[in-house]
Amino acid sequence: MKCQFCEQEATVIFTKIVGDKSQKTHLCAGCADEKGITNLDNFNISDMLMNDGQETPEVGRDTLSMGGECLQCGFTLDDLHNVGRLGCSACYEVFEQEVRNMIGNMHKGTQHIGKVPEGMLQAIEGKERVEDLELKLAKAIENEEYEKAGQYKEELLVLRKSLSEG
Amino acid sequence: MMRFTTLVKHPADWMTGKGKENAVVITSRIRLARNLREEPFPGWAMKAERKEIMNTILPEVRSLATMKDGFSQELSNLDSLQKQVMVERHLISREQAARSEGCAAVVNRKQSLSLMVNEEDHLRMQSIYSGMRLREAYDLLDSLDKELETKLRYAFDAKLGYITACPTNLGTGMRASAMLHLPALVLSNQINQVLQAVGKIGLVVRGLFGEGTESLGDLFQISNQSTLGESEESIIDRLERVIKQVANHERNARLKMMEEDSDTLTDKICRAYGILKHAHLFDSKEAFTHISLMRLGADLGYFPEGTMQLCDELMMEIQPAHLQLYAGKELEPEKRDVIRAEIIRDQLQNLKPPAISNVANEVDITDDGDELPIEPPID
Repeated sequence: MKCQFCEQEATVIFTKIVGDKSQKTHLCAGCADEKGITNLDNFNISDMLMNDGQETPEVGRDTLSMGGECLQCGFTLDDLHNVGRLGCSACYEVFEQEVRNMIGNMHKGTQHIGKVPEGMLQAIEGKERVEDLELKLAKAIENEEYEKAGQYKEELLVLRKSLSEG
Repeated sequence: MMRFTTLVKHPADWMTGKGKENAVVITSRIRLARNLREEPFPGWAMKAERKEIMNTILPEVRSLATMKDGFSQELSNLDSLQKQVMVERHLISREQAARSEGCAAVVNRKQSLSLMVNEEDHLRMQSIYSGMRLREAYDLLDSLDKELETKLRYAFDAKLGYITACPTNLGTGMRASAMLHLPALVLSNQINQVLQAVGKIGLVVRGLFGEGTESLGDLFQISNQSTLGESEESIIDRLERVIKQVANHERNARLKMMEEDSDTLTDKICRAYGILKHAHLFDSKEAFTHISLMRLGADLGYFPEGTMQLCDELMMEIQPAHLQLYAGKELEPEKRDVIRAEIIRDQLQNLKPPAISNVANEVDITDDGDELPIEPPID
């Protein structure tokens, strides 16, 4: 197990119990010292350490670690915990929840602002339009508005074709 | 294709500080991280996969007009000394130097652009300029990136931006940084206060070689931490504002020392000159300390024009790998200290002692001298 704050081997396990939930933090001796965990008089600092991340939903975590593996590259949730990096771009979808927890404190925001690779913008817009149409189609069928549904279906067909060609 | 010896023989454009004000802000650098869609990241890929990825990326990189006649090598073709020389020149990272098969480095002729294939990410690209020129450095790299994105299938997500191996680089995948020389802030004990202020607003301060390195020769690197949720432009804006403030503080500190205690300052610079010119043994740290003072003296008019560039060249040449390359063999640290002193004495042979009487009149502090308190810029 690696220290969650640096790359060193973890030698200290800090367990926080609140109510019936426990949360474990793995640290190396250096980071433990730095965070004031080895010094038990220093409760304020350890409190700060434990509170600076959002509370992780323990349930979601367990489900993921049971079957959490990226089919694209074989990377597992344990690997992610050990190295703090991911295996391939597809991993970001598999471990979406984990990543979201990780980036909360890391960055200024959670939504990319800035450069988009050429051609990608149309693709993203296209994908959103497909999703939008699919939703409308489903609704139309549900409401038995078959004329409308047929229209959406046709639009979808055209859009999908143009996207796959682009 | 450029050979390693040619690469080393010629200083990079930024090292000669050509025509740009670089007394305080020595260099500006931009780094972009990019990855191929659905391919395993270098740290997770098998050797064969890594090679395949390299063979996809390398031909595209080599065929770029800007990389024409540049340097390009798989790292397994370079020995450890050669790799270390490239690290000292900021052409590859320390992490990349530890890699070999399936990893490569490509550098353009001016050494203003360097690309690492299969470092932590599939592609890491860097541009480096002398002086305060983050924007120019970004534009140069941006145009290269735009060309590559039409040829390579970049991993990109509408929400997370450019996908990177480590979540710390998501979003723009951009790290913008500047190398600053801050001897007056160090001498006047203001450095910690200034660096803490910089740290508080979400920027990172590091030593000469990035993460986990100590500061040598009063050199500090300031860079952005966050890459997601902020555009390239706004990251550069913010960084530029802070760097200018820090540079202003340094300039004011220099001015104040000249006004209030020029004898002490002159003494320090004269001693640095004397020691550099006559000592027989130098470890890196001591050499950097004295060269830093001489560089400060050069800015304040104690030495003839061109002395600052001389200092910058020295700071490069006395580093362990450059020094061993100069000696033509691997050397024990003790032996290096002898050669280091030899290189310095040799370079300073024709440099006249500090011109004390001229200084007071010649000091040319271009700054308006505003006492800017370091405060987080309002966003």
